[in-house]
Amino acid sequence: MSLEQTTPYVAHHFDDADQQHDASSLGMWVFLVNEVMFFGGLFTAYVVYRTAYPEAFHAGSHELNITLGFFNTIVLLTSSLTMALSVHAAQVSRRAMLVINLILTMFLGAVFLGVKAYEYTHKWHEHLIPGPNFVFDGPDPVHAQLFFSLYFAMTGLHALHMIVGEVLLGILVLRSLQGMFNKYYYTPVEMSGLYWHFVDLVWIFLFPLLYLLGRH
Amino acid sequence: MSHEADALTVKTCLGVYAALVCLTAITVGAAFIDMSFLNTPVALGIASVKALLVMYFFMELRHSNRLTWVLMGSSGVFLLIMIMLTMSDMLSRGWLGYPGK
Amino acid sequence: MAVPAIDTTLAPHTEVPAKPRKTYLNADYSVSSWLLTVDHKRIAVLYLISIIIFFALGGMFAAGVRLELLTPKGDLLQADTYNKFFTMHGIIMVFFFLVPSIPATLGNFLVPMMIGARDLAFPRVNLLSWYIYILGGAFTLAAVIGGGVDTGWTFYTPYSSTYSTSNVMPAAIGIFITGFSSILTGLNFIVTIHRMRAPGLTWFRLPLFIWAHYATSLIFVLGTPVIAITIFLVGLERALHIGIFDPALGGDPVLFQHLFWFYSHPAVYIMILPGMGVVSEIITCFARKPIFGYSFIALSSVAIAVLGFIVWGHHLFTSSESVYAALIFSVLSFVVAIPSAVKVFNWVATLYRGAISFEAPMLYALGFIGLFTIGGLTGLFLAAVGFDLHVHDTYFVVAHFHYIMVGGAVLAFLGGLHFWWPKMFGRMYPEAAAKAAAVIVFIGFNLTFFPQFILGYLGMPRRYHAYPDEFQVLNVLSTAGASILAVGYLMPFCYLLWSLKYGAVASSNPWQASGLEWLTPSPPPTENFAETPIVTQDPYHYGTDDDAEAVHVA
Repeated sequence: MSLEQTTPYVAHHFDDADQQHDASSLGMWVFLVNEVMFFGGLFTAYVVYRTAYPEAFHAGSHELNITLGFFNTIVLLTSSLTMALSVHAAQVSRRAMLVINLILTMFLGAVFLGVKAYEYTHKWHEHLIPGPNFVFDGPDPVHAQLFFSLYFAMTGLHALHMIVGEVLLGILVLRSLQGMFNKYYYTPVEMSGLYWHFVDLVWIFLFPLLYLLGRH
Repeated sequence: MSHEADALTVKTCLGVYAALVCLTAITVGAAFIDMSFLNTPVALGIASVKALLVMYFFMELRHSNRLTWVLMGSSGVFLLIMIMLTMSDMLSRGWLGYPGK
Repeated sequence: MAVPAIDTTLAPHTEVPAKPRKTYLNADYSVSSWLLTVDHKRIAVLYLISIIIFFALGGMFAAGVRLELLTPKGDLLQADTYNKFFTMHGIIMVFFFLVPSIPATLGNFLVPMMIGARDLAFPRVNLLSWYIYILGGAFTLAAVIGGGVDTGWTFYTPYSSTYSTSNVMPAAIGIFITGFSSILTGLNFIVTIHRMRAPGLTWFRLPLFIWAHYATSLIFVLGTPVIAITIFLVGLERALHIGIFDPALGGDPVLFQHLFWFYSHPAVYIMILPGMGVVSEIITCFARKPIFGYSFIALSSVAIAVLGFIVWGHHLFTSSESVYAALIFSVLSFVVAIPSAVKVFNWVATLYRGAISFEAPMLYALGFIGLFTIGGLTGLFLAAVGFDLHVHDTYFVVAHFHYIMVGGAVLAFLGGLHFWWPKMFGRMYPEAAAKAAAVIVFIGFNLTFFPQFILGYLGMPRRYHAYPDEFQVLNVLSTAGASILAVGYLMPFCYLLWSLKYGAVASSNPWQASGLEWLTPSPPPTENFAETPIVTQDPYHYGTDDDAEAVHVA
């Protein structure tokens, strides 16, 4: 594919590139609506149980490392910044900036996942993984286990989405190096950006709900 | 397809990022202040502002058509419906004083 | 008869095309051209074959249930086996037949054609959707072969999450996976309908079939992820023994019910809305009258989709749901009946003073109107909390939902299949056999399920394989009806297959129907339209000056 491709390849069933782009964009947003409801089920369970057992949830939240959570939040926000900068770079056909920012986004995502892996291992050592080996010496251990079940389910599902995002970014890096994206065609970068920002959005809500309870 | 006039500028990105980092610091700080029942609404409020910033600027809702806005809005509405109607059951149990009601 | 800018006046009766001609069916005969196709029409056919297989499997489980219920004692199957039979019947019929049935077959085939497009917005996602469906089906079949699931299709916890020793995990994984098939189909339809309509095809010129599928797709996208995450949590709880829904470990089983029914109630609207779209198309064609109240029917589809999301609590009336929540859900459940009633009134008004003919699709559509009305009205009975408390978990509920799902959705599916069969396969089915089958289905269906209303009202509980002696007569009638119904199902299976080779060759518009799909040859070429049509008129101009001939069908 030539570097300065001015007319993107239009699939046979579309009339023109604009229709193709609009369809892709709408498709990604509809997918995100589906993702909102997917995580939404977990958020519903969270609201129900936190309202019913506030003390257990506060105690559980205390076991989470607020510094790591704060650090991870900043890391993920920075990755959203670099992702947005990649989209910008594509919009102005700056390939080097595009590739660098995509790689930075991947790197920051990997840091986030690394910190989460560390946190999970730590929880395992402290016997806070729900199941037969769960041990909790705070108030209401039975319902504190609910907190941790939701913690692992919600952050685990989030981490899974990030791993998928990392794969998408990897593919984008390869394609960018091949010169596929420029200001005339950067739809995959834009769509992956929407996905990545969505994953960030979920974390923006997960962080206060899981890490910042009852800290006062 | 070129949208240079609408393009996400570096300045915008950095400005939004700075706001997001500040808001994160504020939300952590606010968590340590006892505002009794207001802690949760404040935390969620700050999170919502951050979310709106990400959606409006990074996800370019700023330049999106009305359909996209309706889609995002509707997902929020249905999520709220799911949570609120479920909670309407959970919270109103025991109001009548009969067992199981 | 190609005309450059085709407008939507009814195509005149075209001559039978000289064979051979390149259609989507004969474009390539290799297996890989089918398994790797991105043509929405071929994917529709792949789905058609798959759902018929699942329908047969689900039907066999139903046969087991009805055979057991011939006698008051539990003598054919052990109690646990009986539990597995009705569970597998429910799971297969709901998730692998009813939810995909019309959208994935008729919807996939017709949505692009009805809007003048060459394919759906994301053809490869469409194919992926079918493979995901097959993968989910494989897991569920593994559950069946591994000994079945006995939790009921509703998977109530903590039985499903902790205490059942049956194959819950593979079934749960299967349903989880298949959910994504629906989500992707819904996504595809929404984007296609928004972005790929032919020039001049405004929203209020769309066929009602499209409106119905659009509304259904909204439910696919908003509701299915919730059951996915719920099933995921059940699987997690089963695997790791955490206590999200298990009260012994601090969880709330009613939370499961809320999350489960948040999807499963809108799911029943997924099952019926496409059928309503089909009925709208058939009624107007065979009454030779433009549909009465087009915009009301169109908007009522969306209203049903939206309102359907706020009534789920009526499944929890006897599950210790609070009285106040029950009140809210009861009122809303009454409200959701209104748009459905609007449709029924409009269909009847369309029939009034129409030039009605009784081809097989019309017989199915008329059957739908009557049976759906009974099913819907009994739904209102159940929406009244006081009444529901007495008939919940009895055969009254079973009869109610079968009137809608079989009397409604299955009849609409059969009617649509017959109506568009000539378009899809280029052959007419044998009309006399089809009429006979429609009547047999109607009789068999009513004989099967009407006694169940009475049984439920008299107090026979559902999901029991033994019952008091005094209920036997009604149960025998029901089983007799089921065998007649089975004959009614087998007949189309046989003659439709027969028609593929021996049926009369169909013209492009054998019904003189309006709609862009009828402007193409039967079967259509892979690209659907040689040139994109331009739409200048409202749909459904039957009985107007443009309707050159009243329908005459072989």
